[in-house]
Amino acid sequence: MAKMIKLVSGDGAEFEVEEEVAFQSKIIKDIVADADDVIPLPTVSSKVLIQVIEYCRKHAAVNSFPLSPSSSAAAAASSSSSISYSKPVSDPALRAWDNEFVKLNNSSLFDIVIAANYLDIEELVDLVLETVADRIKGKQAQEIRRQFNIENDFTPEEEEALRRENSWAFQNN
Amino acid sequence: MASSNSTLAMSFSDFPEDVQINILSFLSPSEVSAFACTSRRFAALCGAAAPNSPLWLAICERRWGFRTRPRSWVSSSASFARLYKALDRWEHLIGFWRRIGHGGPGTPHLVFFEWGPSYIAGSRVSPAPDAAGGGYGVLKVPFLWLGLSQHGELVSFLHPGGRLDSSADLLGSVSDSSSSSSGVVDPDLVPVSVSFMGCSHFVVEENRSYYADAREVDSIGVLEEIETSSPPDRLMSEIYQYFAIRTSPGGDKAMRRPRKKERERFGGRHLWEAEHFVKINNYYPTPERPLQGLWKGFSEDMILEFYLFSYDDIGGITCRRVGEAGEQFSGYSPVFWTSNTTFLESPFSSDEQDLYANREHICPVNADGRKSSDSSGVVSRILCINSSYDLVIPGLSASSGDPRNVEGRIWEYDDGTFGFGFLRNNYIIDLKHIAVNEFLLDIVEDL
Repeated sequence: MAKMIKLVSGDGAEFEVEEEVAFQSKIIKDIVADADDVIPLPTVSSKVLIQVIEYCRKHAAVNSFPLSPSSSAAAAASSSSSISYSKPVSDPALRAWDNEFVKLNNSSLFDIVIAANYLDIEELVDLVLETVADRIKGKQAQEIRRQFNIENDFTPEEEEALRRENSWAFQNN
Repeated sequence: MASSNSTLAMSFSDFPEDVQINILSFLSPSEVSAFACTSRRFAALCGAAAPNSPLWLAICERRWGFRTRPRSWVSSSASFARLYKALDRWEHLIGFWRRIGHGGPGTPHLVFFEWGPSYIAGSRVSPAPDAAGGGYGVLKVPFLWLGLSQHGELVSFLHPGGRLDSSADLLGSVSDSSSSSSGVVDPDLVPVSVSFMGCSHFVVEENRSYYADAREVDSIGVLEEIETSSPPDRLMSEIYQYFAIRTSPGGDKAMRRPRKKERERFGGRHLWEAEHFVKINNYYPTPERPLQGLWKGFSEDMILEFYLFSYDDIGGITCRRVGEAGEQFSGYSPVFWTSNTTFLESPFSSDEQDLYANREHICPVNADGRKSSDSSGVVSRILCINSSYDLVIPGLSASSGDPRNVEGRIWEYDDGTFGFGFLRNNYIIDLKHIAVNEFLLDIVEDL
């Protein structure tokens, strides 16, 4: 019989999840170790908690089965190639699921960043941080500001000087 | 506090700084520059000139943390953005290269570059003598080290003799003060410069201005501006003291001393000739190119040799020997070339089976006279070789136009390795991998 953990969101809603799903969060795992099965999460809203639980449920299911032959071959191939910036999820089906999962607007995505960081769910943190980074790539400063609500506190002269300085320092050779 | 309603749009600026750094560490330098222009706070966070930038350290860690210890490459006041530039440039060295042009006789042609904790080390790779290591052993002798000086400049050193106990003894680790820092400097160390000519070719040349530049700087009298001089770590204290002497007041007297020292070191002549290296791409097979790569096997002369198999762009496969034999080809002599890349699958005809069964696998004989390995692997596929260089190169074989001279076979075994041989004799040269996943196999201690 799977052990159930009860999570309580910031707005008071209760969610019962299997232990192995909840334990994807290192924080929850630590709290439960202190013999407490009801875990209040005042900083996490229901909406976000539902999404996080969905992610953990999907990844717990995958982690409990060994990799299929095709995905382990892919993992072996990628490990013998050149350096990658982060360890990718090796199962292509799971990777596709993850890509769908992060198709959210910035606001929702940011909420998950905060929650995943707080709950210390390593794979989810990696996923959402990289997703945010992907949304910065290829953009000029003005568009980044607009997308991410960053206030421009430069004078026009300062901004121009900074732009010139940075582009000189990092011309791609 | 609770973002339960999300009516207030969350801004990137609201993230804790370590989360921001983590996100930005996924970006390339030009993308970081763009982000730096968004606000004052982020300009400070992303600044490349700042020493100890946590963002630039995170970028280096994310990209190279698996391979090396970025933090230990530089001293505490260094710019991690400069470290990024250095690692990005030198990362390309990792892997196998072969020496071209002249070189000291007996100097191995194959070199292998790998990551150290705070440096990149290049080693000469050659077959181990006397069938060490079960016969397939290789000698790996470090000869070149690349690291960063105290001031973040690229420095590289060469040891012509090549015999050192370990790279760790030489360069140590900046962050590990308990390492064997005997303070002794190896007098054979030659400062060199490593220059890329395109991405598949580099030259290692003696850097005679390594000490001379410091002299020029001294005449301006500014200690802090030394560009090429500071040693990469505290083991090279003698070189360090040299610069301390140089910059003390007393002008001429101080300068005379190092000149004498330099003469003692160099004797006023070139210590060492420049060496050129060309990259060996593709040193490991792929499913589409199962024969590709660097292999080792025993030739018909019972000597361990290195073979490079490459697929060319006209659909052929070339096999070349990398090593001493064949100096006239600059250590890269052709063995055969075939245009046929279609394998025969099992079941094989009885002719083919006989062809294989009647052959002798060349393998090392160990001390008690028995063959050291049972090389009769299960053959999974066969490739017919239809030409050989030996036919067209005069003097390399007793060629007579007999078609059997040019014909041979490659027998692929079920473990992914393979053997090859020619119809003109009864041997099979069985091949094994030289390296897997950037690790050299069967390394034997150089005694």
